[in-house]
Amino acid sequence: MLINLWTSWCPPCKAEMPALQRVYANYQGQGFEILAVNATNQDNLADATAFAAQKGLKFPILVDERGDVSRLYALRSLPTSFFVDSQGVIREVVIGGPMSEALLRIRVEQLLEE
Amino acid sequence: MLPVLQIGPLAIQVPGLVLILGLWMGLNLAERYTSRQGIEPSSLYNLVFIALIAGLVGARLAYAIRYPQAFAASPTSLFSLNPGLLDPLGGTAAGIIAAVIYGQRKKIPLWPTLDALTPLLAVLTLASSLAHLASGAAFGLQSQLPWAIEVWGAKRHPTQIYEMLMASLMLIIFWPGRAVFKRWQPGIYFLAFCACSAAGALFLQAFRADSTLLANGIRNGQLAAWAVLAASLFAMGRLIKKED
Repeated sequence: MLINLWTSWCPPCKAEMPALQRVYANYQGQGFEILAVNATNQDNLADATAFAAQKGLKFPILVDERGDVSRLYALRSLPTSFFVDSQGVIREVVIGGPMSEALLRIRVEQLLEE
Repeated sequence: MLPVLQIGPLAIQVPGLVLILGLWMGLNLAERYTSRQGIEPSSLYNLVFIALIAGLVGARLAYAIRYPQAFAASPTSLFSLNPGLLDPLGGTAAGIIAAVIYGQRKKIPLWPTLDALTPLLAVLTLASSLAHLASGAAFGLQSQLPWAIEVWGAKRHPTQIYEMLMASLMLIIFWPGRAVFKRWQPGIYFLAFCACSAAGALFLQAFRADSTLLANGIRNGQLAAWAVLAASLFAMGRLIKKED
């Protein structure tokens, strides 16, 4: 699983979304999931929704209205991504972005192979 | 841990910044003492620059060779700024090969050059420990000691601080201004630094929780440290014997 914290005003967050969508489309059938948590406490929900619709994002977009998830995951910079294995253990944290598609594919395949 | 320094809209990756500062300070320190080895400062700068560029390109290509399908699906990722797509071993090999070729073409003597580079290596080792502290990498085993620090959700040995203390000690011991090093034959200064650093790494690896564990509790890093220690001592022995 990939947990991705993002906002619609953050250019690197927006830049990596198409790659996230392509990787999601490729690997969802093998059990891979993306939870894209919008840090809504520092974003505008209408802008975030419009962006997700415009880019055709199919993975779940969660709304962190009060910033609880951002605090819990010690968000320091946007975007921040957490690669989580099947046991629920965070295996890698990528702070900043955009992540390249190759990086996403390699990390997802490594998690799926375990 | 301070992986990112947020200054307004700028998110500065602290580990990278620390390493760049370390490179700059190390090169400045090395430059002050290059005349002792009879090396031109410009040759040293060119050598390091070429090794760095070759190292970066080699690290990315080696990573792409390991995962050809991922890069075939996204060829533009070859030019990505993600440090996670670099192969350290491939990069080191490419950097060394490029430096050797440049050194041979410019007829730069091997041992005096390595001696001239030693202050840079010492400063980079210290910068690397600070980068580890900032990113939370090279973290320690869980511990209940009073000086344990909270990293990745548990109290752990502050291995990054141990590493920093060890690197500071090495920098003090191998400070290039010491008169004693002038009397040593070329190569011994560099090899002594490598041997002491490897011995330090052997000790520090015992507290690490992140490196690969091989059979009987021996870590991958310890095996590498033993190899560097043995090779350094062997080369020192050969140089001293040759001098006699």
